[in-house]
Amino acid sequence: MTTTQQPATHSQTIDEGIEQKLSQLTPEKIRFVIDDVLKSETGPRLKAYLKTCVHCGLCSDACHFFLSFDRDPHYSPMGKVKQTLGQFILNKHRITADHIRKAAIIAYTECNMCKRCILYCPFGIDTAYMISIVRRICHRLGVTPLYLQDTAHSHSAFMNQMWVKEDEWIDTIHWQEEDAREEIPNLRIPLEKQGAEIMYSVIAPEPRFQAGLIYKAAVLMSRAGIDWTLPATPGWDNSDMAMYSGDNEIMGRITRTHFEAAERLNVKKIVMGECGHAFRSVYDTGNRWLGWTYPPIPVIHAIEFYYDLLNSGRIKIKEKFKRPVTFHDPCNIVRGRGLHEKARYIISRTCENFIEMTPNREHNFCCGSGGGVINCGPPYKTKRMQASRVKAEQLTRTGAEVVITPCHNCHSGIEDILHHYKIPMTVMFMVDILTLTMETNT
Amino acid sequence: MHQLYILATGPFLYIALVFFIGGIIVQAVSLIFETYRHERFVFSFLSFKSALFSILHWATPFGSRVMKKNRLLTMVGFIFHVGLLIIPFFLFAHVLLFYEAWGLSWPTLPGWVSDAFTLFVVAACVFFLIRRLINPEIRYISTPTDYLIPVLILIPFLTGFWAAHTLPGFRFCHIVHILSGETLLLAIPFTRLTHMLFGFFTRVYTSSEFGSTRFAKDW
Repeated sequence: MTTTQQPATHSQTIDEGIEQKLSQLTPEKIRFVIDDVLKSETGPRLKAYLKTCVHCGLCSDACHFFLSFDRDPHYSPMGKVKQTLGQFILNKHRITADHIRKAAIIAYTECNMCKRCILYCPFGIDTAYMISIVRRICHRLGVTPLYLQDTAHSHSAFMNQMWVKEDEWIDTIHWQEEDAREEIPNLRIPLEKQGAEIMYSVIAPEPRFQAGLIYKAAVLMSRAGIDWTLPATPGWDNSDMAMYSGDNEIMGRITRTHFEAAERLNVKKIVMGECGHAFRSVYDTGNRWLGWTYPPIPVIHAIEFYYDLLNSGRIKIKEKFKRPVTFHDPCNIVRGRGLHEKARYIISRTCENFIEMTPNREHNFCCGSGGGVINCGPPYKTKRMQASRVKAEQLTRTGAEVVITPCHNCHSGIEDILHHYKIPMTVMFMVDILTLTMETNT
Repeated sequence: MHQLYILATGPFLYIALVFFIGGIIVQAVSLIFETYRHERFVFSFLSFKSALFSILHWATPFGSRVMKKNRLLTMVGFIFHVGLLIIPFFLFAHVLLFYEAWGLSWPTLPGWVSDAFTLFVVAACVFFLIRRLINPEIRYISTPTDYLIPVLILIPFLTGFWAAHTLPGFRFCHIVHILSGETLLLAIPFTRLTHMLFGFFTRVYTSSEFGSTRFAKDW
């Protein structure tokens, strides 16, 4: 019977980060942590969700894991909650290290916390929130995937995701400035400019291995004549993998450092690069952990910024992009901020041939990499690719040559999908399209 | 049997009503109070407009994507819930009871309409049970109470229909009807039937977050 069997993927994965700590766990310690998280870190919201769910199963069809794994009940949103949080609550006194291993693998690598299932629940039950509680419990037990934990350690030590040292960051900026001056001789990437209008923040993978994106942002800012700056101190990185590992304390430190840098530079607002999870951290979770209902300094995502630039005429489009494009709606800025129409406005201004994906906007399928899943690293890549089958089919159906997505996670995830399923498409950021199509003499 | 009838329409009825109404009030008040004490931030995100829009969407048949994708379930679900809400209050025989007890009366449903709704509710309960049994992903997340609840709803409706049409054994069915109806009332605050109340709370919170903080639709 399917109800007692476990999917093969559960036992195949060996993750040192998870295994190492499991041997040291005692039933008392497990019970203490579960009790403490449930009592002191959750409240009536969770209780209401659990009491309201009538187990109707409608959320199943929302989940790309469930659909891609041939409707395996273990991968349905409520099925995942049943195996993790459900067990923690019902069998509180009999949870073993094996249960924790299974819960960690499900919560960290089989749910992208993309929140698509909320839209399929007649009661609006937040399954992603329940999975985040499981992650919190696993984190407090020290049972976290090795690669994800490494990024959290990097956040803790360097306040950025990729162990970028302060001089490396400054050096990268100077290098990109130098390169960009060949295109625009008077271009500057202003570091530490007090009182600038905008602080631009990026995620650490940009200076680490996608420095060209900083170049492109600088070109865009320069053409549009924006008064902008980057901090030279920690706070330049807006990414936040601690939010996904369940390390709320570090999540709070990251968000605070980010806002403090903006406060110190006395800027009017923060513009973030094209990253989704970072937006969730500063707009939704990190700020709330710190006690702010909304960010203390206005934060806008790149899409909103580009929209304003195009709409106000600060940048003009010379020639539209010719190849057929499609757009992937990232969960954190669409279900998380409703930027889908603005993104479509930018595309309509810059691209000639736009093909809509189905489903789209709020109902778009997840890229399969968000929620820290891609950051759990190679041990889970095969499963991630299997779970992206519906995404691959959705991409193929468009017949487009280029898929635009304004999110780093989606970008990497879709790149992996295209490679794995041999789909002849390329992934581009919105800034790639803008720098290709805008007028150069403004 | 007469004595059981006296009990069922006397003390049992009052017990059921007290637990039903009291239970609902206690649950609602304690949820709001607990939220105020432990998760007060919830209130700073509430938006009347977003909640209203969302509830209207979800209260309209085929108003959300999931309903469009599950047409049969949506139709059965809507008619079932409508029947569940109107039959107890607008059935002629029930209104007669209210009139006899308190002298109150209001318009009632024609006999064939209430019959149709009653039989539909019974059929819908069977449909839900079958759906739960044959659908692997739903069976996987089902608990014993999930199977019990449709049965709890089915019994008072079926026996009520039986008694109203004076079919063989209707006297017995009448008593079963009253007792099972009271059991159902009692069960509401203590089982998943509380979704009748909590469903609104979760919907209001989620739709406020979606509509007014995340500026995205939640339907």
